[in-house]
Amino acid sequence: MADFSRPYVYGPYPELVERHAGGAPYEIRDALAEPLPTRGMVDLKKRVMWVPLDAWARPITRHENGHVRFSPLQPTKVRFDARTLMAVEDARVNLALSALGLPVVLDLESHSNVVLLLAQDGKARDGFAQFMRAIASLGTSVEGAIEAQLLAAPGPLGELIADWMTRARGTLETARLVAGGEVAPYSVGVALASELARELRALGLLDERLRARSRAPAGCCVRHHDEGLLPPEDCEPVHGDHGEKQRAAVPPGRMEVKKAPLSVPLRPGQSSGRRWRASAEGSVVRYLARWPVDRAVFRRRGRKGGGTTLVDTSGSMSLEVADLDRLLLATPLGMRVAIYSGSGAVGELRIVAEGGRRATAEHLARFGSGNVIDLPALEWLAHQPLPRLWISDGVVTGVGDKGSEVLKRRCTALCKRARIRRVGKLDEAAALLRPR
Amino acid sequence: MVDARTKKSRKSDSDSSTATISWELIERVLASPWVDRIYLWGKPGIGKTRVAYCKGRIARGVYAITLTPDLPASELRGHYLPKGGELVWTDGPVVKAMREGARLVINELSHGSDDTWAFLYPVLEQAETARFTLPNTETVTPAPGFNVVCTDNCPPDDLPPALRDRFDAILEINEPHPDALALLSEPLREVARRGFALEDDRRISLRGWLVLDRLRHELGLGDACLVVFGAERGSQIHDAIVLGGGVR
Repeated sequence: MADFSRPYVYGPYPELVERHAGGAPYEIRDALAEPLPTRGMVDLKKRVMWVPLDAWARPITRHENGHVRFSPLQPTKVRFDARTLMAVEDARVNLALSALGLPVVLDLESHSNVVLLLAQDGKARDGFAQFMRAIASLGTSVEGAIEAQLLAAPGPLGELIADWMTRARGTLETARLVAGGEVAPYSVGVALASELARELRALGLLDERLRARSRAPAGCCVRHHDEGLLPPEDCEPVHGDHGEKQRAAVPPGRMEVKKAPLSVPLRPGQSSGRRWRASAEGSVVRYLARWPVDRAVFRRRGRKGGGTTLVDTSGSMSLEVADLDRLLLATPLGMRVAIYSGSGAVGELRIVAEGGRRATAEHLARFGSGNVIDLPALEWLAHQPLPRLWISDGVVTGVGDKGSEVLKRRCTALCKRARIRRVGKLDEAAALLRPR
Repeated sequence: MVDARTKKSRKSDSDSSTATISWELIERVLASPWVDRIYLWGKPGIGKTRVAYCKGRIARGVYAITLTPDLPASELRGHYLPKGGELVWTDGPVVKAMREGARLVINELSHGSDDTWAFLYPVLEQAETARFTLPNTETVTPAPGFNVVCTDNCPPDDLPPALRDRFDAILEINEPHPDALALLSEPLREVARRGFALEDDRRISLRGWLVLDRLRHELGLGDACLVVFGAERGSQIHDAIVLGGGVR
């Protein structure tokens, strides 16, 4: 049975990027559909990458790919707050990407958000967070704005952080050029992070255990489970806000595709939908009377009708079996019709008509009372023959039948991309499907 | 019948290493005079059709057809065509291949209709019993050398058992053909090989890489990726090539 549950079609390709081939394929997950602290994250050991599966997310996927290419599988254990090393690691990766001609250029919203977060760190007098954000921004398009903001801020810390940005950039870039490679050696990054930690300790931003009380998130995008590094669950989002996290935290349900036994003709009394046409070429003579007229005496098979209709049969649609029966009666021969609904974390998409045949009424009953699998069902529809019709009230939900703005946005974008026409009412659909 | 999958599973029972069919073995089978009906299947874009057209017993020519659910058997068998005031019988590709002892390549066999499958039953019979009578009452039998290669992306499981049983060899291959990989310029080869090993919905076909390799010199890598793979996927593949393959 096909599994259309992964909301992934066009994601990144970390397998093409990593230094050594041969590992299992990465699992690509939608960062916006899960409650993550950042918009991008990668687990190099478990081979999972979380990125927003949207066109605007290219700089994020680029950065995460950079970690796959340049970051070690087994990071160095450090005695100081590991976020310091992770911020330097982000800078090392970003600078390498920039040198390769793949700069991390944030879009306006992400750019403004980082600048805003830096300002919030300043207001909260969270010097550690300011340091981390500034260092991690090296090599990205937001670096200049952050430096300018730090220099404009009152007090000596801003200037000190800006100095550190210059120093870190110089150290990493020099090391990259000296090494003659595409990236500064990892050991240089570790040494730089150690120096930075000493400075932070001197400034009182790290306690005697060399830990910061700050909730700074920097460097959370590489996940290390067993290294004592900060797990992402403990971080605050780098970009975006809590509201977005809440709105996004609904993944689509798992979809099972089934085909009901199509034991009944779609139109009683009519053939299976195969159309025949007269032709002047062929091997089966059927229309001899046409010889003096146009010589099209042969019978040849014509094209069957096509297209696909997907019906949301969740509770909110209030569709009875009789209603679906009515829809099937209006369906053109050759069209594929599927119904879907779900419950909990699972949904079922059931093909109930195809090629001139349909399922009996007992197979038209809904699977569950919720939607749950709108997105995977639409992804299925996007791969079916045109024209594509989606009969739904437009309510979109995921696991637990919970609504999500992100899921809805993704469904809308998919409909546009795959030329799926949504119709809210069954009568409207029946009128559209009726042969003219 | 040689079923490569059966051999593979048998071997894996006793041996932890996985047995795989190589292109070299497939080419030997295609050249063998003892194997006349071959079912060759595997992922799209790895070179199945290419070897079917170019390797083995093709000296007497190659006829190729691609099946679809709407394709009638008469397209394969032949037609009466009006010529002047009369109708003249014209052989279809299957009949021509049988008469000439040529190779018949049938692409996408699993997409065929009942009508075409039923027509292929006698065609895929052993040479001694393969025969059918045309609408003009002429009976056709295969000339020596006639051989059939069916290519498909799906295993033969969906075919009617009687049709499946007619194949001398069922060969599964999932590695890109080395000749096809060799057509790629060196920096793209490893990236292409890795892109091919991905899961179904992320796999990058070899055809795409070949076109990209030709276009990138004219359009530049960035634009060539967009043209070949589309905007979203193309930008991701571009980044991966630059980062992983060092191609600019």
